[in-house]
Amino acid sequence: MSTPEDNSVAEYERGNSEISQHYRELRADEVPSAMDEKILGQARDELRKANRARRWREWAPPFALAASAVLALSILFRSGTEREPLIAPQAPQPATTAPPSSMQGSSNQPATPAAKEELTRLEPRLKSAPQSVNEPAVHPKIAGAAAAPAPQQLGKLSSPAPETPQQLPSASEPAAVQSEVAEDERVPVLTANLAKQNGVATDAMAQAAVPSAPPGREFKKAAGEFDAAGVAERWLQEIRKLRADGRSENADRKWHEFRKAFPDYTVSPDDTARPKPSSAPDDPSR
Amino acid sequence: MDSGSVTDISSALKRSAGDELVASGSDRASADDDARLMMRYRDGDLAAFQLLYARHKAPVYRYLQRTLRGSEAVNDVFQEIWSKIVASRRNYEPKAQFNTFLYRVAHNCAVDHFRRSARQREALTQDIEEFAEEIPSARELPDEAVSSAQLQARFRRALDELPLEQREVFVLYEESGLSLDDIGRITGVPMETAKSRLRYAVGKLRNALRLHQPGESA
Repeated sequence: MSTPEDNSVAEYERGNSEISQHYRELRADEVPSAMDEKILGQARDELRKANRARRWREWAPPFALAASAVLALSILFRSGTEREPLIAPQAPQPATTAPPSSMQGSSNQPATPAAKEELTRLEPRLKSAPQSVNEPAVHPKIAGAAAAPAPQQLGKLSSPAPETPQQLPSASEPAAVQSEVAEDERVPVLTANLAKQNGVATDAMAQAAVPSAPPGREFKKAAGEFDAAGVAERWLQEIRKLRADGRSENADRKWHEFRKAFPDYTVSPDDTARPKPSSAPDDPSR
Repeated sequence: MDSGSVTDISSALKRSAGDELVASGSDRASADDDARLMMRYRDGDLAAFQLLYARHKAPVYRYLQRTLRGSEAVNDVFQEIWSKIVASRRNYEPKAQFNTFLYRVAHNCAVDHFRRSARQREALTQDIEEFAEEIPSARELPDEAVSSAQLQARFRRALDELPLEQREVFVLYEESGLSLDDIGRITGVPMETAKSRLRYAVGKLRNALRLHQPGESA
């Protein structure tokens, strides 16, 4: 049996009650329009933020890939442009005879048959030396020198080189020569000096002589070989002087040392540096 | 009457004339539609949120007005509720009706507000006094209008004087269109408790109206 209270609640729950009607008639404020704008703006901002994040997530991988590609290309390009000036100084390489290390009897001797092969290999490149802005032109003298079958004429090429003790190491100090030549900073300077002495100045040499240019391994090698010709000639000069002074023993000893260091270096048969036939038989063909 | 029938009956009748609620075929369809709108908003459709907001802003606002009784606080809490709805879009999953979700957020925000405000009782008293002043004097209105206005004032006062728990259940029942089961879940009580609160509230309001009727008033 239901009570009157239950009936009234049941009537209310059916939704037709007086209470519901009175409740709906109660005055109620509307939501302020400023509040509407604020909330809708907030909803819009939230979407924008999410869109930005999503767009970033979408573009991040391709962007990273593109950045990596640009980085890799720039590194490749940079390494390419750095290698260009280092290769260019190889042009005078044929005019060299031996690297400083050869003075100590090292197996790595440019003045040996290996050096001849290298010279033969470089010959066509030197002949067709590029004239573009990026690749320094090779002076005709250098080109001519390179074109020659080097070992036999190396002496002639390098013979007019006048030396000063300050510029070149003494021939009697091959170790000192080697250590000096090995110095990165000294190599380009020595090379430039030698080029001047030979009356040869090329753009490539000038570029190599710039101290700020980072000397690479190839450049050091080329410069060392080029320098060796000067050293050999300096050595011969000293021997000639000893002979002229009548110090034949010293001259002979130095001649043997010289031959050890430069076995393939061509010395004229009538060169005064040579020992007299009676004291030290030497192969005239050399 | 069981809770199911309460839901069915109330669902057809909970739409007040001023609401922007869309008159869909049924509450279930509307609830599904709300969930779909929220999903669309989650996926980046702002228009879906605008529609959702237009549907629910008035009932939620009235719920707060009846429960909090302070325009300043109502605006603050109203904004807080919708901010939470907006922020929850990323994780929203339609596990329940959108209405249940929305009014649970509203209930929690209201509770937070009550916890923050120590002057709830003061505000209640002040509001009732202010409202009493708004009632037109008998000299300015004809007898019928006086009677109607007084009846409304009495009803309002009776509503405001309801204990918070009963008032909230009553207002939720009127505004949200949810079942007592859902209301129980929102307010954190069993359905029977919610139903009991609703009965008490309805009984008190009915008494207030009965007292006003001619011959029954003191």
